[in-house]
Amino acid sequence: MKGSVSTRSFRLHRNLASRLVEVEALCHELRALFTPEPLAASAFAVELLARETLNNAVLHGNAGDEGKRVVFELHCGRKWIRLSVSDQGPGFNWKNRPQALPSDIADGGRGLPILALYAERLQFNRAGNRVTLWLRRPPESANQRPQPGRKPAAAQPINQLESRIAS
Amino acid sequence: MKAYTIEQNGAECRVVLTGDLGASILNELKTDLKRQIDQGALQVVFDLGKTCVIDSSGIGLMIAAHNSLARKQGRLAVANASPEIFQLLRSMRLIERLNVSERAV
Repeated sequence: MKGSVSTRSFRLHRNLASRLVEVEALCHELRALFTPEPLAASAFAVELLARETLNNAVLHGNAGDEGKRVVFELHCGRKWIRLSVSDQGPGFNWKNRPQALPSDIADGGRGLPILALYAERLQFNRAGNRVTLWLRRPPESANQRPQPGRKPAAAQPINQLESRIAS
Repeated sequence: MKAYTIEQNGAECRVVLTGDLGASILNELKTDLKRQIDQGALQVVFDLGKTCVIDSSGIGLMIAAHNSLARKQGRLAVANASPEIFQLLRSMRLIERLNVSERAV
């Protein structure tokens, strides 16, 4: 079935209560979905981006109000993976939030920098209660398990973006 | 099943994660760690040997623990980070601050 997975586009849609236990369950579902080759090279980035955006939606967007919902959508295409997370909170002024790294002794402020590092493109709606992220699906030739002395394929775009943030 | 165990040996404390380090275990782990540090732990090691993913809240927890220990001349270390987690922490420029070592392949 490996060949059919490699060229397959698929979508996932979930409507969650604002509870971290539901975020955890969805992240495990994503991990299972992206563990098989040739998607494995994207697994860490997809799960990390999903965790960051879903946690934000539950804890900050909906402020922990379990009566409010969080909607998660994923579209895995042949070249791109798109994630979208929206909540029912008032949103936030994302234009004023820095994407640069905080001081290395700051115990907060790394959520947005992580999104900027791992997503090729990041877009908020005007209100700031919906975020959409795109990451490039690695070519199948790049889908290799990390080997001794070699960085995993998914780490390569991070290095490129790291210099952008650092500058 | 708890998401971590804490092994204490004198002033040394080893936090062995049995899963991921993120928002869902943050409050409980923060309370347990604070208790350990208040009771005299000066060397804290986070063992990420079974951890696939950490998020920004998990990183923040380790930084907060590092800051608490630094005030007491203590030390925090992160052991057995996967290549992906090592790369994430390197991108955050935290390898030296958190004394991160990579998981043996």
